[in-house]
Amino acid sequence: MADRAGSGTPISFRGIEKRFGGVSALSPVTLDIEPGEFLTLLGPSGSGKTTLLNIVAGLVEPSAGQLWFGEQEVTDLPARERGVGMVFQNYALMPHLSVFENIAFPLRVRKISRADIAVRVKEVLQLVGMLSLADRRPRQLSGGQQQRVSIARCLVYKPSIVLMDEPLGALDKKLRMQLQLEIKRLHEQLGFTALYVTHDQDEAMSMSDRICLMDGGRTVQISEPTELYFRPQSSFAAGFLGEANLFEATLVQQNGHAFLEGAGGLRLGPAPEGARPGSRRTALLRPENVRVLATDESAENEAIGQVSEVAFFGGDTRLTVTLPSGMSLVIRGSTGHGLVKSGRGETLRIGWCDSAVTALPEQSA
Amino acid sequence: MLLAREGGTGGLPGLAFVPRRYRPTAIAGLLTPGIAVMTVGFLTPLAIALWTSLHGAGGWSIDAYMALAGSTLFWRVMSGTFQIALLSSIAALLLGYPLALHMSQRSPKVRRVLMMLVLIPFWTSILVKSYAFIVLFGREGLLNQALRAWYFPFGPLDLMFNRTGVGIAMAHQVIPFVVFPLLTSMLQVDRNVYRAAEIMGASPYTIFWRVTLPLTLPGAAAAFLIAFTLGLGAYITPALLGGRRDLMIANLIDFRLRETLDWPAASAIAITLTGLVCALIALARRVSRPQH
Repeated sequence: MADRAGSGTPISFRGIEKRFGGVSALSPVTLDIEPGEFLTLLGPSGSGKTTLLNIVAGLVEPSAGQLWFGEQEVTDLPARERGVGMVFQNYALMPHLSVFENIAFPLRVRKISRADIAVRVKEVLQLVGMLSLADRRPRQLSGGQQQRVSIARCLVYKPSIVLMDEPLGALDKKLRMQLQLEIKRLHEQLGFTALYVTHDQDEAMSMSDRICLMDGGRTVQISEPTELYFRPQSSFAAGFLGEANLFEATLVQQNGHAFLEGAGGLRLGPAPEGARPGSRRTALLRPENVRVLATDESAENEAIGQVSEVAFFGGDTRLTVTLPSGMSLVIRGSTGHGLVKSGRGETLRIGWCDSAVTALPEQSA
Repeated sequence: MLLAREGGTGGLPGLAFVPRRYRPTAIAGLLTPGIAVMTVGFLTPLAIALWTSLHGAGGWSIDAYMALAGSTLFWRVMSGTFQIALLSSIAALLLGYPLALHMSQRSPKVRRVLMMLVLIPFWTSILVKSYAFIVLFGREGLLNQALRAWYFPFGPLDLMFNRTGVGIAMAHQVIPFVVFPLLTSMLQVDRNVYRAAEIMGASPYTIFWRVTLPLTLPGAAAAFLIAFTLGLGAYITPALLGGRRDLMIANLIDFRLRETLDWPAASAIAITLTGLVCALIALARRVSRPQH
């Protein structure tokens, strides 16, 4: 099956839109997914990500727009003729069939010979490490095992597009991490185009080639994970991925230098290029980019604040610091780098470098 | 059984799932009224019937049963009863299954309306329904008049006062009892299973035969059993719509009770019928027990 690497089919949304009655569930989406790409639809519940996925699957009919798989328009093609694979959050295995028969189902539908079915089912069972449980019924398996079976069932007919609807949502954290890696491995090995839905930002960032961030039925930003994390285009994007310190900042010109100034005259960082003096912007500062300064240390931007909250996460410690202006600032860093000793009520000097600050684009609204 | 199943997945003994507030004393308190009603209204009369059947003119005897065993009338009526019950419950199942399937696929709102429509005949008196059938299906009924108006060459059809009449009316009567267990089993199937099957390329036909039908078979078995047991005990419908030869067990009991005043015989028939039904239910439960 390794020869299939790079055989994914591109997906193209052209103004795809969905209204239920008069209510818009999905504003027009135009998006091209590359062949073999791993694209994640990320967003809170009700953001329209599952609707978009179901449109690709053929389970929901779009109200307007076109959907293309490569050179073929599939907008009106019934689900069973699209040839995509889909993995569901609740596994959707057939309770009356054994693991083997569940995986054989799509092959039987395709009238593949008995001998070939046996070979191919064994092949995918091996791929997901479930060969020894072929005779079990789904209810005799754990959640993680059931999801492996459902992934195997989806891969057995070699779809060039695989859709996953929160496939790890029902699993505990450790298992989730393990299956994330396995899904990634299968994607790299088999080369299908993956469209993955999740509301878990860590999952989205660790797995995806690109993330399509959605909110309220709109696509907010489509970028690579690092770009989305470090260069969010909106405060929603900044706040949804990871933790964010967001400051309302004013662009100040002083002694030939332009910089962003927060409440209480706090210097946040350099002004973005091409911005007018006096204009107002939102500045983003990630908690892990703020350091606690030792007495002899200095930084490009500094502030003094009082620790109001300490949370210990093992390897990481998270401090909430109240600045003189009354604003709270969150710091996160490796425990032991001056962070663990800080107690509540303590006054700290903190700092960050200029490059740590990102000014979000001006909101058009 | 439900508790045992939950216990199986949770890894805890079944009874651990009974919340603390439902301790045995509380459970006993809740069960008492139901048990009392069943004792007074069912078990006691049954015991009396059993006693009567074994108590002839000269003290204890099994004469009544011996007489039954040798009675051709009894065996003819018994086999007729089983045939009619079987026919009407199969008919009800065949008619009720598509109906339940349709209801399971509608929105909850539409489903509620359809459920009401299924229940309306259920709330109507059997007498009224039986006369309605005569009006519709009798020799001069609406159906035959309509057929005559369309120059139907084989009319008029004899649909009433024979086995066909009893079958039609009984199937109609038990349809609600068939639809609801079926609907319950259909609604228990995860919708995503159907979606998955569709995405994997299965046609609606394949989905029905490979997924829907096997998954709803236990529900269908339960529905059939209910319809069949109800059919075995039918009384009014065969009396009103059956022919002279379509005497059912219940009518035979009535005949012995009121016409020949042979109470031991009537009781023996009743006990035999009850015993047969119990045996059937036990058998059906054994056959349809879920495999683990």
